[in-house]
Amino acid sequence: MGNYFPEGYQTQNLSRGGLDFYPEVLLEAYNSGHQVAHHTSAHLRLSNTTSEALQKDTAMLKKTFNSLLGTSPTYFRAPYVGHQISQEHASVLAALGIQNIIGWSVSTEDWKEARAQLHV
Amino acid sequence: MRQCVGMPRREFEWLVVAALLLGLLPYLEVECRQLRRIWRHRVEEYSQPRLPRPVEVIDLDPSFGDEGFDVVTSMKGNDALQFLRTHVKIFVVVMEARVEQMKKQFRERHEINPWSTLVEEDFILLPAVHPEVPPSDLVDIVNTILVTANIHPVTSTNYNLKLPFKKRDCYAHISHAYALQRYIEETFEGKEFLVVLEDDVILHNSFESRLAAIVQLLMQPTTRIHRVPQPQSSETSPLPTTHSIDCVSLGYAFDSKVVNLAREVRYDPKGTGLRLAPQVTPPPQRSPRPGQEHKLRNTENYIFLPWGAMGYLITREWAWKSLKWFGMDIDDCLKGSNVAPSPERRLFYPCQRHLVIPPIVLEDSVRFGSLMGHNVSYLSSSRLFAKDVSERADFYIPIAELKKPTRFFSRCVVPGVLALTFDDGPTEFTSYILQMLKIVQAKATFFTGTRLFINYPMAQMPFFV
Repeated sequence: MGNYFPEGYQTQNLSRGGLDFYPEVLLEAYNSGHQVAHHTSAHLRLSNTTSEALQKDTAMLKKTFNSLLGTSPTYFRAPYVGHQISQEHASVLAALGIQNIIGWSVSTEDWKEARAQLHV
Repeated sequence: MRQCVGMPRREFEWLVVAALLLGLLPYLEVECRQLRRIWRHRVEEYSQPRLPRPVEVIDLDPSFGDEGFDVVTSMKGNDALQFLRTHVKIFVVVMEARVEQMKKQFRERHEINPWSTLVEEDFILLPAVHPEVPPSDLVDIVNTILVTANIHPVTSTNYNLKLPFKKRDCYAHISHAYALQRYIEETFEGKEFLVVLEDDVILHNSFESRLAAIVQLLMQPTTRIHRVPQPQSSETSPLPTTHSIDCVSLGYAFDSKVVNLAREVRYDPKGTGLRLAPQVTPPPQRSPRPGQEHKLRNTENYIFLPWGAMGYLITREWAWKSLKWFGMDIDDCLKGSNVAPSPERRLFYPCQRHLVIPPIVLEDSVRFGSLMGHNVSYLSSSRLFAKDVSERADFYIPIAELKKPTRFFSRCVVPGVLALTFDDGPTEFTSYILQMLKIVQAKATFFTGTRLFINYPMAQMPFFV
């Protein structure tokens, strides 16, 4: 069976992201002095995620970081919500060595454009 | 009952026996399953090629500065032997005078230490100084190193090897180094094979440069000591010569790799704030005066693990043995109380060469740090004994960092400053972003995951941030 994609989506260039696909780019970014940080492995929506799932997910990502860079970042941004995460989740992250949780003050809202492109 | 069924006696007896066997069947099956598992294990064990012994290429600790070897020789008795045993597995003997010195000292210490196997006969000199080894063998050895390390073939001109390793490939290349070790051991069978890596030769504490240093040592038999000029820029030598180390694990090359990893974790060369190294006063540079008794610097920052504990998994029995040697109670250690071994015995580990430790994982409840009498920060011992090195790196989160409160940022701390962040990467566009950032000379933060699909069907993922 597999995933069903409607007709329009098949022609759409479905872009992929993440360390599984572009590990070299991450290395390039890291080596050129940029900061890399956690964004959860599978782009979890934290309001629907248990702390165990978050722990598992972030540990996996951390392992990936370790194998790529030798280190693992201490910065984290929660998908969708930025810095607004529960204390439970924060403690889970702290146990993994992530103490800095970053939100945003200005968003370009480029995801809206992505959606607009899709509807074209 | 037999009469009721109308069955002859003999058949009924057989029936009873069959019923008993049927009742025992589950137990028998369990037994069979265990036997089968053991058998399969054996078959796998024998069908696989023999695990090459790990190579131990450890320089004398860089925090000792230039006088690494002198530190060893100024130590006394068991300490010196133990230091050599645990810190230095292979020596490249580069100076004949030092060989004689070492032999003399070891002969003296042999009486002190009854289980010592490092006696005079165990020494073998590398081709660099050994007159009997023909130069062809030397070439073979070097070629093996290079072939196993996936380096282009060497001519006499390119001595100064820059190994084309990336950090992520290092783990793979360590296994090549195992093959090298195996080769060396087969060549010098039954002999203790020693390689001294002088501090002069070490560029910095990366595995690649160590390998390059060995190659350089082997390639130059006439100039016994090759002094590599210290690189000037901070990029080529990312690690400072003196810095505090969280942990020193003794044993295999894996361990040294992990230690290096821990060092790098604490060091923040790019200033990106990935990890802030705590302010530690650097230890003094010079060696202790001749009369002065040598002490390991920053002893509280070190953890000494027994041989092979990190490289391979440690058996319960082995842990128990070492605990017994330390005069500690295993129950205390299991409870997690801090039991310190006596200071004379702290540096010593009853190690045996080439001991293959079967992979038995200790329980999570065994707190290995307190087991050795040191305060160690770690998450769980399963991480410590993980097969994957990158998993084991999780071990090195300092307690101070764990205790730090979580900080939440929603705006820049410095006023008038913009922080660029790129989420959901890296994607195919990230390299272009990097080029653009390079042009404007700005640094950004990339928030990354492992598997992300952008423009995924909208019903499943309404929007990304």
